[in-house]
Amino acid sequence: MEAIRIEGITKSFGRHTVVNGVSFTVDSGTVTGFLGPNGAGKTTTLRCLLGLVRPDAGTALIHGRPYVELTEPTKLVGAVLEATNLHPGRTGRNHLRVLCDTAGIPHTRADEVLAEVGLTEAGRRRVGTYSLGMRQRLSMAGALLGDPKVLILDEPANGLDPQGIDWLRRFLRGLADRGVAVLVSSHVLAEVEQTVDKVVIISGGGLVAQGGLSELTGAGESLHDAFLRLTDSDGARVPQLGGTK
Amino acid sequence: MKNLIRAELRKTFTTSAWWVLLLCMTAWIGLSLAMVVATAGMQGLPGRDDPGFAPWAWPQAATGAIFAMVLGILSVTTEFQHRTITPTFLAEPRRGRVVAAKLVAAAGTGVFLGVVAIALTSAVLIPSILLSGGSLHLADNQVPRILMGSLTGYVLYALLGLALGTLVRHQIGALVIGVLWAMLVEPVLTAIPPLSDVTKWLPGSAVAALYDTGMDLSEFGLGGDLLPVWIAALTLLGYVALFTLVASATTLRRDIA
Repeated sequence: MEAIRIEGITKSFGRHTVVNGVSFTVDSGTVTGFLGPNGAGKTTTLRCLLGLVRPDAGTALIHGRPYVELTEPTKLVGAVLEATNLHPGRTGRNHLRVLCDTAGIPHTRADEVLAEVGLTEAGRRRVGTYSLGMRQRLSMAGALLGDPKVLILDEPANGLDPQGIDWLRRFLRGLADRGVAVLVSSHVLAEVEQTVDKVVIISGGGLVAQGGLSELTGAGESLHDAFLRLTDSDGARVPQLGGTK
Repeated sequence: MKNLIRAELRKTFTTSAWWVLLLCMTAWIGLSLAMVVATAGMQGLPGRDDPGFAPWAWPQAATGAIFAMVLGILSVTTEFQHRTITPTFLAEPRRGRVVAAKLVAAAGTGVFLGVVAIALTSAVLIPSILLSGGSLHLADNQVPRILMGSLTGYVLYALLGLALGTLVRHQIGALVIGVLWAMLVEPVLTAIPPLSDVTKWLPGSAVAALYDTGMDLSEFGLGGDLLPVWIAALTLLGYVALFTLVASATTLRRDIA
């Protein structure tokens, strides 16, 4: 079943076109890797999909409807865009309780998801005392509150230690096996290669490839090599190392 | 909508800003009251046993309204400051409903601060007047009217702060505009008599009109030309509506990038 449909999304900020006619779909029960170098337009595409940014052209649908028209978005879609979208003075548990209130979900659910991401103890502390990895996990807990059918994560492995990344992989796999559509963006290929069923690669705001992992990586080629080949095709773009911004 | 309002109240009361502001407000009003009580009977000011003390002392309850404004400003600018606006709008993408819930919650916190202010004022003034041998004569001195007006002032200032915060978005910017306006710009403008036809329509004067008893306090540098109470309340609501509408047409439509 088609969970996400993005069709011809275009967005400019000022005179700078960040996303240019990107289209792809994500099916339920799969993990789709949304890959591209830094500045390729991944985050903007996801923000258009989530109704936070208004695209200049194109449509983005989740289960056939634009995000802003969903009546109970928390129960259909879980999303984590930045692990820094937290108030440092509020405890992790209260952060989740606020989201529970908004979505009309009982507070017991906040403790459940805290346990799921291993923050039961830390939940009573202020977020200001958390490591980046803990903030990632708290944000993930917020996305899971409504037991969503669609999970959208922007660079979720940032700040996670190797154990955390391993946990994330198994966790996303488990969700997909339960029928959840998972869309996960990343610029670190190693962290997704073993998890994803399908990849969508964008570069310079435009779609350069999409399909099954095996379709993109030709004879003996690694995802790493395929990625470099595809995103460097215009000759000008060199994938950068470093942070996400 | 009830869920959203509950979420907004929980946001307000799960960080430290509210009690810090409450403490500051208590100290501020306490200081104002201490001044009034200490200077009573000096240099032509009414003594504590004088009926003229009431219209001079009771309106001190309203002096903390600026803290309600700051809390209103923070309730929206904090979301942009810490980028919690993203999870907020993900959980409720209909942004107008979020602002409506914030308005209701801000009115609630305004009532809360106002009630504390009134309790503190009463706790100081009632014993102070009685101990000096004066009588309260609450009704004759229009004290209920002053206190209701003060309470309304807290609510409207909280709403005004929220509307300003929604319009400006930037936390420090909104705080500077709000506090400078209330503490400096408007008092200076109001002190220029020829401008009183205009300045009586400004937010601070409109709030003053809410608890004005009609007694002449000009000899204390207070009072002056004020709007009738209902017009003043409507004027303040008008400011809130205007700011919120402009914010809805601009800030709320903007991309959260």
